[in-house]
Amino acid sequence: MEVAANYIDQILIFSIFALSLNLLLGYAGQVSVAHASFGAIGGYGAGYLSITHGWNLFLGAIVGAVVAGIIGAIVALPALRLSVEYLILLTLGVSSVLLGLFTTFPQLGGTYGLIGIPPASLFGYDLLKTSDWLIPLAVILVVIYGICHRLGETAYGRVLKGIRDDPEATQSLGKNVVWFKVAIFGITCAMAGLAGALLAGFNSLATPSQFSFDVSLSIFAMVIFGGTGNLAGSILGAATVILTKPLLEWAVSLAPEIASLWRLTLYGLLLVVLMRLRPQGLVPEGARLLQPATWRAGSTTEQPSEALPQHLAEEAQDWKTSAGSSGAIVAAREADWIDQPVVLEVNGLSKAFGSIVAAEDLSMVLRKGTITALVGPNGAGKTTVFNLLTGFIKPDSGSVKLNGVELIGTTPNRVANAGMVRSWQDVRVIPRLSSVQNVMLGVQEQDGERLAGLFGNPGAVRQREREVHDEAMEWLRFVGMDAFARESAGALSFGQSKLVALARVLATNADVLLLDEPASGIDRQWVDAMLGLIEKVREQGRTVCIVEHNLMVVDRLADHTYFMELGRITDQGTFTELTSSPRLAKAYFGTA
Amino acid sequence: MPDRLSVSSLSCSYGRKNVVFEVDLHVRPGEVVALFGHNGAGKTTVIKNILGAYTPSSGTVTYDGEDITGASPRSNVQRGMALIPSERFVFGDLTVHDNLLLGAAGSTDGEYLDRKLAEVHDLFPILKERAKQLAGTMSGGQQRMVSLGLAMMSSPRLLLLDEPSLGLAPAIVEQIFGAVHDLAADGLSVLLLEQNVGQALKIADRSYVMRSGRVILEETTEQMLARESYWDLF
Repeated sequence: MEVAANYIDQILIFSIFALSLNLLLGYAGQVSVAHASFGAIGGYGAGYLSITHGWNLFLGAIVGAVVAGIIGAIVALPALRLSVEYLILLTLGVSSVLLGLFTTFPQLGGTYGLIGIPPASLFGYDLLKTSDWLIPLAVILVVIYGICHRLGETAYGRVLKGIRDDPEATQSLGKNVVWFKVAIFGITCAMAGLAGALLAGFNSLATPSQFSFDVSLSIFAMVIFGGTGNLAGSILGAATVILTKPLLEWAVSLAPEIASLWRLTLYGLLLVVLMRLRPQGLVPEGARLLQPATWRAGSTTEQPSEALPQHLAEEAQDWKTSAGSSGAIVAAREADWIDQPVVLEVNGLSKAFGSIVAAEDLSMVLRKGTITALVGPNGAGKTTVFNLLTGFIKPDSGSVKLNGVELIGTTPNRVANAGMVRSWQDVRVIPRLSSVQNVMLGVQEQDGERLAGLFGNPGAVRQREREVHDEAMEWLRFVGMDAFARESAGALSFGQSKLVALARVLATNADVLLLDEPASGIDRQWVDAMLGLIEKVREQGRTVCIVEHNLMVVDRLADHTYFMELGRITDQGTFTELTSSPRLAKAYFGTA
Repeated sequence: MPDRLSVSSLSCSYGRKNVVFEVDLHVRPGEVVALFGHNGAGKTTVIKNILGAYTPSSGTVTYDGEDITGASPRSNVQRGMALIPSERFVFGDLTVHDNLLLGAAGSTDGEYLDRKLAEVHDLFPILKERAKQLAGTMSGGQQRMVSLGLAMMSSPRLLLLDEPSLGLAPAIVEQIFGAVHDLAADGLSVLLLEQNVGQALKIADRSYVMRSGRVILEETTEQMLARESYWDLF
């Protein structure tokens, strides 16, 4: 009984480690190979307070968790801009530093660690036997699971998954990516600290080997075995990893000391086999423990049909029969353009990368309820303008005023919050979120994206989540993609994902939409559908700016066109005016 | 004379993205054919399918009468194709001389190499003067010359040339296009992808125009030159 309880207790404790690492790795996409050393902060902290100050271990565990969380958040700061391989190195370094520090303090037992931590007590009852720990650990695990679930599977988790798959796109929708990353690092490290304290209390000791790099890797393996991005899988993963040793001892009747060596070999083999057969882990993201998805390597989703949504197909047909823009209509649009109020005013915007001038003294305006196009030969710097306007590139000089408010110097998420949102040439939907979740990511002002709201006012969060879902469905209906709401965005065709990306941008309710090549890379009928939608957006009174190489698209949509060459705006007017200029024809086609 | 290259009903997708639809085109021996189109129209995808870097989802590619659909780039280079990409077209950390030797596709026949080097040096004398210079330290136009020389070292019969005028001064463009014209006069077939209509029409015999993944037009150079403007084609 006590032997079984011992393993179950270990599974419960390591499930906490694995759940928290899964939240960090599987949900937020941040790699850490130092998770056990954050456990050491909790373990040593709680142990020290317990031995020297007579604190109750559980009280010490809370303090240890808080300290681990703070240190985790601090570590996150330099980690913000690192790619995965450097993040591994950084956390490896953190692991060495923390364990090294603990062994240097004689008060913490040096290389031997803290030995003889007094038994923890709960409600005046000392936890002396391993079976005494079962219920407290199970309760703590349930609470931690609940917290992880709340963080991972609601609006907050949606942002985390967005950051994991495409931080820039997520930031462009107005999410404070920096804050989310720091917060999730802190929270998960705090959970690791708690698990470390429990482990120290359970074993009555806190030693360097208990929290070594090997242990961090074992936790990593638990998450990978179980499946990243799925919390239930982490518990399964923890059980698998913890139970290999006793199973080896029992099934192959190996001596305990040899079994632990064989366990390493078995881990390695299991990992190799698993990566080959089931890269998404035992329980893949989105699957449930009791109804595992079919056993198949790679993606399990079917390619949806290429067909254009029905009502869009009809509208596309309408346009074909009504022919393109005639000169008279264009002239009317331009006259109208001049009368509209200025929403965005760009003045003297310049940016050089070394000796290459990407933008030089750019000045332009976007007017309310109109479509403005940026055209120009390859390499003229059109996409750079979008990057400059939305804060993804800091200009050397100039000003960008949205409704009179200066945007230069603000972060991309603040620009989005202020009401200007961009789309991306390469679409950038979040592949592992469903279409509707992608669009929900665009909706602003969500209580569930704030920690205080998430845990402080669950009722309001639920209510808002329903509203956000309905809003997102409205936008999906608008672009004709509501039938694909539950389809994961990664399984959509390119044209379909472009429509979902448009719905996502629209869902931000931003006044100004910057659309980067909305019609590129999609088939004719899709182009027609896309253009019809953009025209409808103009009718809603929103301000649109497009960069587009397909000049037919510019001709049809643009009320006003700026012509760019080598980082400068060299002309402006209606598309027809610009195309009648021999000089611009020469710049574009090299003809005399 | 049979076509050197014939592409029929070629369609291609990258993963989820259909980029080229039912493209038909052909190039005769010694002919320079221009392929125009806006950015993202699918021009580069077409030539990568021809070379075999991508496999078409449907359609056929025929080279000198042989169906080579789905053949590897390596085997197609051996058949006599060369592709010069629009970006990263030389090995910047190698000397001009080494770049040219690499272009000879593994040939170790000294006599052949000497003959080919002499031909390339005739075409662009500066490549002889700068033989020891690292290619990456040359000007954009000179690097273009290296790329063309590199391609010629394998004695190609079909050259797939992706936007050679990109970022070059008009005088350099003329020089490079002049060399392409001379090579075609000696029997080289060229499929020239361009946005610079004016320069390309100076050497092209025929033109195709692509828009959004489809060929929307095929015209002779006379017909193209007779157009008032090209805005409606892009």
